Amino acid sequence: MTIAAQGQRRSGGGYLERPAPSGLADVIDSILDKGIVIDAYIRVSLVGIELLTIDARIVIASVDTYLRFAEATNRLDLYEKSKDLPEVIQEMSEGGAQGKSRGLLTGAKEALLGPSDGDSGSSNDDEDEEQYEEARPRRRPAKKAAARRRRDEA
Amino acid sequence: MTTSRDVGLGCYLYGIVAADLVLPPDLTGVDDQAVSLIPYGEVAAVVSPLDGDHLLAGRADLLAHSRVLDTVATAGPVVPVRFGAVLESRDAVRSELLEPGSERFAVMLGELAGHSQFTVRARYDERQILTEVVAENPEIARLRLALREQPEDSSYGDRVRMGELVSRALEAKSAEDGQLLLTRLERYAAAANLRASAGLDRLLDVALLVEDARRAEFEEAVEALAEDSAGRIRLKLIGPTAPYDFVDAEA
Repeated sequence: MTIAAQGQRRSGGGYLERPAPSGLADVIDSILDKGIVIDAYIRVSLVGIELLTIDARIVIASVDTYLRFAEATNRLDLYEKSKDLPEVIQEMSEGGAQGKSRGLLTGAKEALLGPSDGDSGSSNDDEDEEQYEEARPRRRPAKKAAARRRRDEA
Repeated sequence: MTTSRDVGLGCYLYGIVAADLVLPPDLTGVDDQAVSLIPYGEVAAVVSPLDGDHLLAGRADLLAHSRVLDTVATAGPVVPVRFGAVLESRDAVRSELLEPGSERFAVMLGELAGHSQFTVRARYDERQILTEVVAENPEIARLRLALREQPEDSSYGDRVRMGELVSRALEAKSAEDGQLLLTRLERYAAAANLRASAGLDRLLDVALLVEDARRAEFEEAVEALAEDSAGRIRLKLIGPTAPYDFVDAEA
């Protein structure tokens, strides 16, 4: 609370930006894949497309990236101030996550990027798919739910 | 099997602190629930009750998690737990987490004591850096001029080519400038964790574990760096926060 109450401040010379660490972009970057992992979760529920509504500008090394860079270079004169939020999104990795927390993170990433937008930088293999499913809210243990789902699909 | 543990109150877990830590008064966390400690031996878990129907979903939960940890960090060392940890009950926190882990947690807390995490984020001024790139690379300058003469649908190849060159030039620049910045920051830190960053204006994202005794010195150094780089590089300093980047992932 005390931290948040400090709000945005600029120090001494005014060149250094010192935001309170309460902005969503800073927080996601700092905490989503960080901290010790407790593998004894009785329940982890994560859903929520509402985590962020962003125009995710996922930067990947691709022709699209190059075209964007070219466009920015061509429009030097029409420079538009860049935003720093979307950069954060690409960095989120699963790190050393294991067990259920792994599913949680994947779920969070999917929630941020949109689960159906498979080309937005998130891999789309079966394992990820299943982890996303596991991260959904549920009232029964994940494995049972997953098994049931497979039966339903079969 | 659906059991009673799927409903009712759970225990949302933020992190581990020393048992004698005094929580800031009226601290609330996820779902505006009161934050409390569950002590065990030398350590204590920082928790708040969580309704079984509450989905850990939105930005509010994420922000609450970090707000609690950052606030607790002002009162003493804390080992952050990854966002989303929920245990069945206070008893489960004691028996499943603290009892088996208390000795290792105590060691981690000892190592973190007297330190805070700061994050420095450096970004190029996009216009400035692209101007430099064009000025320093004749091929990019040539392509840029050529592209002005071409209609968009016939210039695809040239645009990709120029973008690739710009991308490489920016990578080289940020590697060099990033190292210079890092060298000037690292000397004040007990540890540093470089994070990957992305985007056209990316330069450096680094988490630094700074000893409290060197904090003023460190903050002055970052300010001086920001002043020296003004106009070309924007620096952002976030912190002090809980030491998210400086705990081992496995517990």
